[in-house]
This record gives sequence, structure tokens and C-alpha cells, in this order.
Amino acid sequence: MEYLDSFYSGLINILPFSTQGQSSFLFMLLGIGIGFVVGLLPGLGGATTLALMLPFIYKMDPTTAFAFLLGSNAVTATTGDITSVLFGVPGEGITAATIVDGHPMAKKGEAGRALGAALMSSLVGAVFGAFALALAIPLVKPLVLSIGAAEFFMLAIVGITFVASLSGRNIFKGLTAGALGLVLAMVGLDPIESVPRFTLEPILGEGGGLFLWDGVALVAVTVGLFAIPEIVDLAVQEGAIAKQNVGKLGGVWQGVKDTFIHWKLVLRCSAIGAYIGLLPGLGGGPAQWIAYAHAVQSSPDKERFGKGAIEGVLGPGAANNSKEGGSLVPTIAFGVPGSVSMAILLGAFIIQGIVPGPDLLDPDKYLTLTFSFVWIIVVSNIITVAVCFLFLNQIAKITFVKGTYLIPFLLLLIYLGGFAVKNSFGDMAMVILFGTLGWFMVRFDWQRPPLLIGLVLGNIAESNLFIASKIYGLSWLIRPGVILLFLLLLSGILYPLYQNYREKQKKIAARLDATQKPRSETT
Amino acid sequence: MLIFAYVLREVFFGFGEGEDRAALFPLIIGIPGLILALGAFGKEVFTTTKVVTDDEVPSWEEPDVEPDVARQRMISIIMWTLGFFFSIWFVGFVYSSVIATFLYLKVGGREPWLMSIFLTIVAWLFFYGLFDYMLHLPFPDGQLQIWLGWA
Repeated sequence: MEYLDSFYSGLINILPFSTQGQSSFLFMLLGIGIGFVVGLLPGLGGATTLALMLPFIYKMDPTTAFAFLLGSNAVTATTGDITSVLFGVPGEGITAATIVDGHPMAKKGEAGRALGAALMSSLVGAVFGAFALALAIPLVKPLVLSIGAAEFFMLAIVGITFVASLSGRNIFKGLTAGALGLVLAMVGLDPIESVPRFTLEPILGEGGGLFLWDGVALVAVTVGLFAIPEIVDLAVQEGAIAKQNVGKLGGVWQGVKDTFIHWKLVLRCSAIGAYIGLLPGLGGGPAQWIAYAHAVQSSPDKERFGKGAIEGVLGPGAANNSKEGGSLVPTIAFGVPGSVSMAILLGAFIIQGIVPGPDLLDPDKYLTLTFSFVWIIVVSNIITVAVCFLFLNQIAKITFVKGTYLIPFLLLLIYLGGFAVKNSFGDMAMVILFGTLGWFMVRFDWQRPPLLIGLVLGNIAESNLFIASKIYGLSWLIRPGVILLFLLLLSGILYPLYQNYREKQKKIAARLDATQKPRSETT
Repeated sequence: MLIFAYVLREVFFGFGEGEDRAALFPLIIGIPGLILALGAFGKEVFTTTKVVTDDEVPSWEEPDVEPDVARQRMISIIMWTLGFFFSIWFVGFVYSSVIATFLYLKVGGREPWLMSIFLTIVAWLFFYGLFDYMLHLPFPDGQLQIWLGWA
């Protein structure tokens, strides 16, 4: 009963029907506005913006402060999908997966449909994640403790393998790209002993080598890998991003309908996002790719993916937002941040004088505040999606604007995105380098997502491998969770190979039928 | 293949004494990575000997640009991409948003004067207005300003 009271009070405290609610609602709207813009613009990360907003919460009460911060954080993934779909430029690092099918849809003239699907699935995912947070509060301990260092390592490898298996016909290419991503993650200081690795000092000199001590910037790689090939393609093809106009079929409401037609996929991907968000240290990057891989694996027609399959937009859209609710769980319950944004939010707890842990789950102390977080995520996403829908058809028309008008803006934004990470021209050079790599990968039909997921998960995999081997020695290999994940990994590699083999057999059989039929007809 | 070979070379010859732990993960990734790269290369060689049909190319992706024109446009956009980089390094972000944008539209895109000037102003307002004036992002001075002592 106390939980229900806190659940209800948490909602009332953020709606403008009381003095407290008015203050919280106003600052939530302000946070939503900031998050809206930040999500759209490549390079302006949600985490950086949260850090910039922290000084302003000193004089606020806790509910208002978190309405302000969470209102911003909750919507960056939602609006980040917009630039991913329209321009093939990820507005946020966590919206890169949406590009794989969202941008091809825009090229087909279905930008409105892709945006409608991305936004609606984001809303469903956000609501799912928020209520997962609410329901997980009494159950959180076994959920988080169910996974240890060894399982983390295997989860990272499984994530890379699943995404690599998207490479369809040539899984070797996908796995090689994933391994390359892992190699890129090793550039810089070793996470355990801080030994410089692959810093290319003999080639770049001391200054260049020192720059690489920090590793390869994820934003620079993401932006370069995905955006530069799209800009080259736009310039070569001339004309607009959209190559054809499909009328109402490409419209926003078709995308909304698609979310409900594929409701099972959306709910499954929301669950994936919420669970991955729950696991401390994985961050937002893997959730989108694992959800995307699941969308591919669960589809009967995998060939459509990468060419504008709506499921390829729905999956990552749902997972990106549901992980926000999930990542709040270990942050609130244990003070262990689920991601960089959550680490910054921990700072907000300290500023407000709140210690994460049992107090936040106690109905007599801060449980109402905890449930306010749930409602902030829900309400802020509803407002954002509603506002976006007012302008979405107009925004989608950008894909019909001449490419020459867009290219200068895109180039400046891309370079700004790369530069803004560490205020370094070196990262801008990284954008060009990985843009070149991305172009070659597209040209020679190599998948880019496995490389990116390898880069994202590399440090996590290495750190957890080290911890697992230190704690368990070699016996970590026979832990039940590890064995289960290994079987999952094998299925991720073998199943696509088996499917390819079956398709080849079917084609051979069909060709034999075709050659035999005319002969039997003539005789 | 070269990258994985370089990784393994570093593992065996690049790490010093006492740095075995730092070399472990590169070794674990380097060996399977090299094998996979060899496998991918082998498969590429095998498939290029087969005839590839066009029926898998979606209609909206069919190239309707002559190969020579496509090559010319590709070289042009690559040069402009590098040009934007150089411009940002030389005069900074805010001035680049004016100079590089105008040059691309007028020279590269051969757009009319009015449209070029209009979009250049929009670009400047956007970059200066949002990132410099409102957000105070710390844009560094360009090399030109440093050389002229305007920094």
C-alpha cells in the first residue's frame, strides 16, 4: 500500500497541480528542451550536457533537480534518432544502430515512416523501461548480482558475435570487423596496468603518441564511419537524400502503425534494453546493437535488413529508451552507475545530499522521489514525442532538399562532433581517417556495426576477463552462465551459416527444376 | 590482415619485461583476428571468380550516374571534405562556417549568388549563434589568428 501511495505521489509531484509540481514541471520542460536540441546535434553528448547542467541544481529541491536533469537525459536518445534517419549522422552515439535501416528508408522516400516508427518505439521503450524500474525496485538485488565478471566478458563477446552475424552471406567479414573493433579498443593505455599500447610513437612522434594514450574517441569513429560515406554518396548521386517519393506509405502514421503491428518485437527489444541498462558498466552502446541483432535474427526475411527494414528501426528505437529506466536501477539501489550519464547523475545525488541505496527504496524516506524518476521518464518522452509529431512530416521533407545545400552543414556538424569530444584537432583527423575506412567498408560490402560494437565493448571485455581470471583462475570457463552464453555465441555463429547453406540448396534445387521443366515439356 | 599481423608483432616484440598482462588481450584477439581476416580474404578471392547478378540491387540504389562523372564527383567531395578540415584548422570554426560554406556553395555547387549568400548567413547564424554565443563552446583560434597574433 505504501508503495502504491509513493507511486501516485511521485506522479503528482511532477505535474503542475501543486506548488511542488509546478516548479518540477517547469524545469522538466526546460530540461526536455535542452535534451531535444542536444539529441539532435552530433557531438553534443547527453552525458556532457548533464555535467553542464549540474551546477544549476544546487538551490533546487530534489524533485525539481531530477526533473530538470532526467527530463534532459530521457529525451536525447529519442531525438538522436531523427538525425540518424534523415542524414545518416548519429545525433548520439547510442543512436548509430538506427542509421543501418533508418537512413536507407529515408533514401527510399520513407523518412516520415522511419521517424514515426523510431519515435513511437522510443516512447514504448521509455514507458517499458520506466515501469521496469518501478517493478524492479523490490527485486533489484538478485537481478544485478545474477551476472559476474566472467558473464560480463561472455556477454560482450556474444554481443559482438550477434552483430557480426548480421553480415549475412560472409560472417567472416563481420567477425573480422568485430575483431578489428576490439583491436581499436586496445589503442591507448591498458585499462589494468596503464601500459601504452599501439600508440604508434615511431610513426606519429611523441605528441601523436601521447594523443593516442587516450585511446580512439568513440564519437569520432561513429561519426566518421557512418556520416562521411553518406556525404560522399550524396555528393556523387547529386539530387536529394530521398531518391523517390512514395506518398502516404512513407508517412509518419504508417511508422506509428508499424510499431503496433510489430508490437511483440518492440516489447522484446524494450526488455533487452531494460536488462542491458540494468547491468552496470555496459552503457548504452550495446543495447541498441543487441536489439538490432535480435530484430534481424527473429525476422524470417533477413535480406531486407540494411536496405530499409522497418524492424531495424523499431528494435534499436525501443531498446535505446528502455535502457534509461534500466540503468537507473543499479544507480539508485547500489550507487553503481549503469552508464556515464548515470555516473554524472550520482553527482547530482551527492549535491542534493541523498545517498543512493536503501534510503531511496524506503517509503518513509525517498521512495516517492524514486517513483518521480519513473514518471519523469514517461512524461518527458510523451511530451517530446507529441511535439516531434507536430513537425515530423515537415522535418521529413528535409530529405527532399537538394544535397548541395545540406553538405556544408553536415560537414561542419561532423567536424564539430569530432572536435567537441576532447577539443582536439586530432579527433577531427580521426573523423577523416575513419570516414575513409567507412567508405572502403561500404564499397567492399563490409559491415560497419560489428567494428563499432567491438570498439564499444573492447575495454569492458578486457577488464572483465582480467577480473574473472584473477577471481576464478581458469575455472571461470565452466561457470553455468558462461557455458550458457557460449552456447548462445555458437548459435549466433552457426545458425546464420546453416541458413545460408539452406538458401543455397534451395537455389540449386530451383535452378535444377527450371532447367528440367522445359525438357520435360518438349518430350 | 596487416593490422592483425602488426598486433601480433607488437605482442611478441613490442612489449617490455613485466608487460605480459598488457600483451595478453591483444594476443587473444590477434590470433583469431588474423585467422578470420585470412578466411575473409580467401572467401573474397573465391567469390570474385563467380558471376554476380544485378537482381539483388534495389531499384532506388541503381546507379544512374556515369562512372566517369561519379569518379569526378567523388574526388571533388573528398577534396572539399579535406578543404573543410583545413579551413577549420586554419581560421577556426566560426570563420569556416562562412568561408568554407560560401566557397562550397558558389564554387563547388555552382549555386546562384543569392542562395549561396543566404545559406552562408544561415550557417554562420547557426554555428556562431548556437555553439559560440549561447553554449560558449571553447572554439580554439585558427592557425592564422595564432600566426598574426590575434589569439
